[in-house]
Amino acid sequence: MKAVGRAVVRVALAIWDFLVGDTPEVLVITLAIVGIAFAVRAHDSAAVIVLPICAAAALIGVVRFGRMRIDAKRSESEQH
Amino acid sequence: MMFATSSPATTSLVGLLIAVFAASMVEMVEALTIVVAVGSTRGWRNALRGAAAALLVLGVLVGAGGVALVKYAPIDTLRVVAGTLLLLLGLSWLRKAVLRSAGLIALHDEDAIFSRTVKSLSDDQQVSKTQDAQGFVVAFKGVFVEGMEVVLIVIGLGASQHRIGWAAVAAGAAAVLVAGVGALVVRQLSEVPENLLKTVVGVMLTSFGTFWIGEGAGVRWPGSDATLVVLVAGFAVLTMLLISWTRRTSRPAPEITKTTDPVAS
Repeated sequence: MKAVGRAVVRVALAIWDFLVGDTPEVLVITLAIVGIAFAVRAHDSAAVIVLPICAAAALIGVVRFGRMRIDAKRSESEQH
Repeated sequence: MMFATSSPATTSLVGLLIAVFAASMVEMVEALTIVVAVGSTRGWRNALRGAAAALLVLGVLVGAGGVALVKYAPIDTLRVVAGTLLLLLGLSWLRKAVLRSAGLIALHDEDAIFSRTVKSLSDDQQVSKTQDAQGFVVAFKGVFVEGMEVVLIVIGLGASQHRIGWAAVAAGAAAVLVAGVGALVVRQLSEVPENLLKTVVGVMLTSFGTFWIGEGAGVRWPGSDATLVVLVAGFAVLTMLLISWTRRTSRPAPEITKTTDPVAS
């Protein structure tokens, strides 16, 4: 049973690593979009515009965040 | 029911097949590189056994997880969960694809992975029983780790449309194609335009994710599944703009080389 438990934990950790890894901001942004979807679901005409715009903004945000992280790491290594 | 196509449009089915096939192809190329490296150093028996065992476990995960979800989870809940999963994966894939296209992070290099795996396995010429098992473990791990992402995509895309069967067939077809072609031109695996494929899959996953989150939450998209075409086009254009903008405004590091990390996909 212990072996099964360990295997389950390993699989769960692997899935977490795939989905989140070192970019927790992507998870937070995605969950925010789910929240927005539920908030605007009663207004179809608004929702069909708001949701894609939110997803597009999320994409721009995660790319910018990724770039900022790389730039920060780079300038840190240049300082050393 | 696993192959049901009751949806009014085939747009989402075509999208599902393309997305799963392309995602599976990308991941299987990476897995095959590791299996071939193991096979050529530790022998094909262990390499193929490890790969087969991993594929079996992945198949069980799709069968058990996916089918149970389709049968027992309420469809709207399933769509929100699957949509969240797809959007999460899509944004992650696109983020990496854009940063790779701009030269900010390393491209994946199958040749380097092959060389590194071969070197690590052939350091010791004496092959004991433990080392023999090592070949099995490395091949298993390579296929399992790369295949896990495909499993999540198959379950996410398949379950949200009640088309697990179609998704599994598309993933299996890509695996068979890669294994067949790979066996013939194994050293040309690095020629596969991996980042382009990842960009295409990322666009599709992000589009499907947005669509299914909306559907699951109760939003009625105009034109139903046809909205997917608009979403895919929109995200594709945005991704191209982001790549262009990132390339123009960033300075690629001179030391950036292709990554040799087999799981840094």
